[in-house]
Order: sequence, then C-alpha cells, then structure tokens
Amino acid sequence: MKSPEISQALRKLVGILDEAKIPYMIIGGYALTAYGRIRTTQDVDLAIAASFPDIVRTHDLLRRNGYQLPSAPHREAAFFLAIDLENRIEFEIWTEPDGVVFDDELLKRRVRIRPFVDDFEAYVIGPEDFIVNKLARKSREVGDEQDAASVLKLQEGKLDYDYLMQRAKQANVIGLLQTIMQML
Amino acid sequence: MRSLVRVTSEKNGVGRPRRVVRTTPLGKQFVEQFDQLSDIHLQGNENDIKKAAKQAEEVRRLVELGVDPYVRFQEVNEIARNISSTTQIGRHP
Repeated sequence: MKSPEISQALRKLVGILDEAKIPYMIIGGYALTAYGRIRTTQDVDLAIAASFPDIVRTHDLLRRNGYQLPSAPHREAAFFLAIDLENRIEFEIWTEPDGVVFDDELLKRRVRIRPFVDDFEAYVIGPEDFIVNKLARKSREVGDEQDAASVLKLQEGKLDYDYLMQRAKQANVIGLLQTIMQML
Repeated sequence: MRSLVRVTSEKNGVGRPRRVVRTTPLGKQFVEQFDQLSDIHLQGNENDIKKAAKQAEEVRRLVELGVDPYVRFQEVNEIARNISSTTQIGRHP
C-alpha cells in the first residue's frame, strides 16, 4: 500500500529540481526511514543548496509548474512552502535547515534511496547530518530527540563519528548529542 | 526603548503592505544565547530515548526478516493519512 499522491508529487518536484540543477536532499520523516525508526509524517521536507538568486529562480520555476507558493522569496526565511495543488501535497523547502552547513562535504554524503520501493530514486541527507539537523532544530521537541536517538542506535558502528562530532560542535549541539549517546 | 524585534512595512505589488518582523542586533544576540542554553537540556527524558532505541531495534528485526522499512513506512503513513482526511471531513460536514 502506498500513497500515489505523495509518490507522484515527490517525483514531479525532484524532476523539476534536477532539471534546474538545484542540489536537493530529503530531510525529516521521509529521511528518517532510511536510517532509524518508522513513524508517520504528513508533509515532505526537502532542503535545497541554493544562493538567493537560485531561490528566486526555484520559486519562479515552481510557480510556472503550477505550485502554490504562499510567500515571496525572502533572504532571511529558513524555508518556504510549496503546495502541489494537483496532488494536494505540501512541501516544506528548506534553504537554511537548522544546524546544516551546505558545503561539498554535506552534498557528497547524501544517499540515494528508493522511498516508494520502485525504480524512483532520490537523495536523502546523510545520517550524521540528519542527527545534527534534528538536534539543532529551533523548535526541537521530544520527537526530534527520539528520531536522532533511533538513528544513533540503528546506525551504531556505521556512522562517521569524527564527522558527526565536528558537525555537532559547529551546530552547538555536542552536549545534547553526548547526553543521548550515554542513554543508549 | 531597546527591543528584540523590529516591525517594518513592505509594499509588494497590490494590496496592503506586508508587515515584516526582523530581529534587532539585541534580538539576534538573545536568540543565539537562547540556542546555546537549549543545548544543555533534552526536551525528553531517558525513557523517551530508550523507547526510540527500542523502535530502532524493531526496524533492525524487520530488515533481518527481509522487509524494506520504506514498505512498512508507506503502509503506516497511508493509514495515518486516511484517518487524518476522514477526521477533516468529519469536522466540515
């Protein structure tokens, strides 16, 4: 059983970003399944590596492809919403995800997954960056900490711990990370 | 008076000017220090973390049984979406 709307909507969005050469990665609940526990999620979060002119270009591109964009591009906004009206799916498109530094290393560590268990492949954030993103969220909730904990547990021994510590330090979440690791 | 945010109006095409709220330098400093403080404490407790670890173990067992986690994810997500849409219909008769 799978949701055809989400599948179609994600394929369409990834196709548009690929064509526009905007590097992207899935974050949030859809990325969590690749590394940790399984939990439900109603929206789809994507992060894009884009300068402000590229963000404006992405906005225009999405609008021309029939997406509803409730807000105009803004330099200080961490994300914008894009609603796929045809499939009735809301995307949160993050341009500055919490704790995530867009650099070549981050992009290199993205992983290709098959979220709908068919031939469609898309990039998800790497597991170390996923953990840091969750712990660095400004509106961090218990669920975010549990998401990070589940990835630490399931990926135990497979993570690049030096990289994880380095990114956690940059994002000011090293204390939180160590506390969770001690509890596991 | 020193404040943490500054509200400005921006005219953007037709319609009423948009109100934009931005942090002042003091507000930015406040947010940065708040972020550092929030690094100290978990929002959850040890039981919450252990529960998540147990859920991770369940996924490990699924994978060992040859089940793709995304198959199970799509199943539970679809059920949740159906419940959510049914609830919304109920709210708006």
